[in-house]
Amino acid sequence: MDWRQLWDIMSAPDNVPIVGLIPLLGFYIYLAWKQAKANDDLVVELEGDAALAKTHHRKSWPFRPGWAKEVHVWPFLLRIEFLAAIIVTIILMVWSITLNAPLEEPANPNLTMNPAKAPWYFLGLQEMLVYFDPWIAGVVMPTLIIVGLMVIPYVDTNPLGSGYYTWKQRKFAIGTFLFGFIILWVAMIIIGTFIRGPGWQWFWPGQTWDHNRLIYEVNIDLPDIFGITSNLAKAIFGAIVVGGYYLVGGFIVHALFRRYNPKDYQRMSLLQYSIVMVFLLTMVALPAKMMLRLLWHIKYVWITPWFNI
Amino acid sequence: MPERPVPEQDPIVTKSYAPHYVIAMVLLMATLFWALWDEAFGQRPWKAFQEQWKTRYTSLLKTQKTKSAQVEKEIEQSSDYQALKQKYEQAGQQATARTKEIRTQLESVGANILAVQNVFTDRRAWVNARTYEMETATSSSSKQSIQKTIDNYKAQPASVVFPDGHKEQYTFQKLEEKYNDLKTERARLNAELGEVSKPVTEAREAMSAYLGEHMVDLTPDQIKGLQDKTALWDPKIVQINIADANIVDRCESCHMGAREPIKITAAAMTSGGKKPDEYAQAFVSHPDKELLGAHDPEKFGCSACHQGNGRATSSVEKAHGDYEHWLWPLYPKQNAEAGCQTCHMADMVLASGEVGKVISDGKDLFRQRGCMGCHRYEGYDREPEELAGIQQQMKALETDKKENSKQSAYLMKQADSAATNEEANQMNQMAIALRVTNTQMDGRIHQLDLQSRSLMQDMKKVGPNLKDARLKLNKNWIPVWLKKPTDFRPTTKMPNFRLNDHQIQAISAYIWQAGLTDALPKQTAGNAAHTAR
Amino acid sequence: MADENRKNGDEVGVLERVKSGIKDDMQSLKTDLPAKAKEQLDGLKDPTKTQVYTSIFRHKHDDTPRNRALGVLSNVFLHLHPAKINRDSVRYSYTWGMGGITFYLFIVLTFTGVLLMFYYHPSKVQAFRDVLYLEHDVPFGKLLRNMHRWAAHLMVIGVWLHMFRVFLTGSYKKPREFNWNVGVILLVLTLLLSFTGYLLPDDQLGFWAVTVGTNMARATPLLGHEGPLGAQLGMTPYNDVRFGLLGGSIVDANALLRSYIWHCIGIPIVASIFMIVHFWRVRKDGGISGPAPVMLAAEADKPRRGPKAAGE
Repeated sequence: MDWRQLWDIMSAPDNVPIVGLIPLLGFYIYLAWKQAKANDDLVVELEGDAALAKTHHRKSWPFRPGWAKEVHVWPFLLRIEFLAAIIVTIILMVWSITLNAPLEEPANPNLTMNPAKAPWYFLGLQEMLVYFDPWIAGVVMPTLIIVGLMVIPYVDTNPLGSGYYTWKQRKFAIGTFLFGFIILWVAMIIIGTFIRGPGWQWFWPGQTWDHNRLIYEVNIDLPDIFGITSNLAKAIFGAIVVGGYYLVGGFIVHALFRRYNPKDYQRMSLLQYSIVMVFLLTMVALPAKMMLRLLWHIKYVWITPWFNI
Repeated sequence: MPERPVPEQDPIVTKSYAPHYVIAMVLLMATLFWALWDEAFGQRPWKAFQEQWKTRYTSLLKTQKTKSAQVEKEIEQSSDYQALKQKYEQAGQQATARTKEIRTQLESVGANILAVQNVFTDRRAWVNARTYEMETATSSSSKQSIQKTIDNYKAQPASVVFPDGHKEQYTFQKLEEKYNDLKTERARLNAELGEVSKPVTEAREAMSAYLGEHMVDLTPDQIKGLQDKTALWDPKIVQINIADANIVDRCESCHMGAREPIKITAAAMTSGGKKPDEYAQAFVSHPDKELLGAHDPEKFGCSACHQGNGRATSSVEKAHGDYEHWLWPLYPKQNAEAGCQTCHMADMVLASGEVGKVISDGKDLFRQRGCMGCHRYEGYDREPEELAGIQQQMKALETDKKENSKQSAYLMKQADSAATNEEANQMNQMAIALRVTNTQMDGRIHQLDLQSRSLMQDMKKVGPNLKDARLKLNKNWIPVWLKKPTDFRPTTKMPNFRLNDHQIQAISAYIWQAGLTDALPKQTAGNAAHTAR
Repeated sequence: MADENRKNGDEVGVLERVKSGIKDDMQSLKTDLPAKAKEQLDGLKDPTKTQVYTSIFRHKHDDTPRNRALGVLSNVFLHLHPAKINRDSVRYSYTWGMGGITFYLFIVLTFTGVLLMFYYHPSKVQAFRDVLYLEHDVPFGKLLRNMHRWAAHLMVIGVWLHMFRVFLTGSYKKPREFNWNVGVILLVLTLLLSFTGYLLPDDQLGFWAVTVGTNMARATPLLGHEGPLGAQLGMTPYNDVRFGLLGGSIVDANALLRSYIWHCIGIPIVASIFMIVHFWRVRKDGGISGPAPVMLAAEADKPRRGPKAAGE
């Protein structure tokens, strides 16, 4: 267990934000969960008591008749905003005095750093390069992420949970987002920062980042496992696999969604439903491909003369 | 229902944020003051160094001064010095009386000059202004009238009050004369004063010259000068800035003693017989003043020889370049001579006083052991320059040839259309002469080409390709060569590996067995369009 | 009477008039000045009534509801906020303040960034040296640079937390869909700001990070020379989209200059425009979305008449 290596990685000035991001995320998820639980309990209570549902002020915070429903922004909101600004300034100043921004050797195009890492917020994309070709990992996927984010409001037909924390009322939406944001995006960044070392090899925390480490890893393509050799056959095979993934996966998602989200299912138009399906399946394709690669060393699934997936 | 009891008062409007604000403001103020302190002191450890320097150097100078005073006294006791001193005193005695006289006279003359000067300069200015008007006047009549005013003014007497009280009237001309006379008088008196006091000053200079020659260290006066300088010192960055070389060296901001005239040791800078701390170690003098004299830091900086990060002042590690991403850390003490290689890589022996033994030994070893045979190294590797030179020459010759052929063709054409036979013959001869020069140049180009080919071979390969051994060598030659290469070719770069017979046999056998037996590979034809480099 | 005076000699009459005039002036000084001085001092007793004060501060500041509202509405910087707000929106646990914190960090970055610009030349020869210079020579240079870098990281984290919070509270649902999309664009712009700034110190870290990042661009389908079908469309390293980004085929002086311009001018202007739209839409879409009263599943499909106010 190489503690010094671990400390070196964690205390590298540009890695400190990620080290700080993890507890921060934990804290805010806890904060959200606390309020979601309070709201969900309130919903259960109100659903059980129709009379109460009519008169209750419908929030998990206390309210008495006679209290102002609206308060002046000055001073009640502004004093909190000002306090927040002061606290952020304190954090920023202490951080700036104690930790120096990195400045490495002068840029030298003839000497590559090993590992050469993108800035931490792009490490997720760089990690994806292991599993996909650059045009997917670097162009298509980021575009899909951005478009996917943009599409969310237009495909979310669930009217519940608008303006308050909840879990029970929005399980699908929140679950999908947590999966995509925390488990995929943040986890990939953590992998890219702490796990990937020289040569982009996998180093568990505590393993020394040895530049001379040699590993034996032979990757195989999926068509080769099935003994397919001709280019045409490979292309057709890959199309079948990818198409099959979408079809079978789509069917499974359809079966589950229809059973567990019947109301949303009814509310959604065909366009909305298809969009959700495509994005969801493409998002899940990433960990699927990761598993294929990490566990069974399968590199490409679909091989054509113009692109490989 | 929420678990906690509902408060009566509306918490949103009644909660007080005063305690939060107090804490936040205290923290904010503390952080701000911390940032200010860090900026003024935390990032500037050289201030502490310079404070220490002041105290320690002052006390060192004090002890030095007493020592120096003692030495000075001893020298002053010597008979030679006493003789000089006597001479000085005699000269002084002789000169005093007259010097005093002259000085009083100078004083009074000076005062008189002042008195006259006041009036004279004023009137002269008036005259000059009018003169300018006259010169720039357009009509001759106005010129005349102005001239008249000037003359009238000049004729008017002006009164001068002399320091002793008496008054005198002078016209302008007389005033000028008086002024000039007084000044000449003063000059004369000054010259006489110089003459009279010359033996005195000479004697005094002889005394201090004697002292200077016989005192090894600084005199008490010089030390006093150093003391004053130190006392007046304000903490500030000391920097050598050589813009063309991108050298900015702030080493002396902590290494205050590097160029001080007296020799400072770490022990001298520590008080109380303790181990020298980092301050004492930083203040030591630069060794070998001769070396420093030859490499004036004002022109070279410090980092040219010692490396390190000259610009950094925020910590010792940063300044010495001893941190992860600085590619040129300070040479450790035992490797300090490595810095000489920056410029003196071609010198075979490099020594100055005590400095240079290590590096000279190193250079010797490198040469004797023949490391350059396998390790290309500048100074031992002239092939690229020679090759470039040859290619340049070839290019020049080719251009000349082209010129010549053009000229020759032109001449021949002229010859064809010449008027007379003689002319035609003449031109033809010239054309032919040019052609001959061209052939000569061709020969030269051929020679250069051969040279360049072997240079290129030398450049590219350290030794010949051993795979071709069977095609080029006689089998029995290999062990002979391996025994001692310099026997056959003294200039070879291949070292003598001192192999025993068994080893030689084994290697020769291997080379022979592993050699290729096919024909030599065909080289692809060169492309004439690609001019050399 | 004037004629008679003139007959006697004008000077006499005028003289008398002048004399009496001077006497009157002296008298007026004696009486008027003290009165004016007293008036002046009285006026200063209450500075809030002076012309200077009332020209700057257009409303009173004693603690009345009217003045509280005016304090926000009549201030150009604060009138982003409404005069009154849902009582529970004040709670930190609901909003996490991340939007405001991100904006505050943007201002800190702009401020420190402008100060840094005074000491930075975006040329290959000088960029690295300038950063060294900032670290050691420039007064507060180290602090400025560090603040800029760490505020940038904090801003990226803040933007992510803001997006996370908005999602968890469903504050992208009708009528706020468009604003969510403006936010996504701002997220991308924040990441691009960070990325372009990464190259500017011209050290190994920045150089290779940007090399890795822009190398992905050469794999763009159709537009990159190594992307699918790119070669077929005539893309070479010298005319594809990566070339357009870098101003060259390698990360060199042109890339540095472009990075600098995007980082300091191009993207901040675009981001400011989007921020203006973003803040405007927050208000126009009904302010902070909550905390809103919980809705029961049974009520989900009943028609609603717009965003509900608190407490109903």
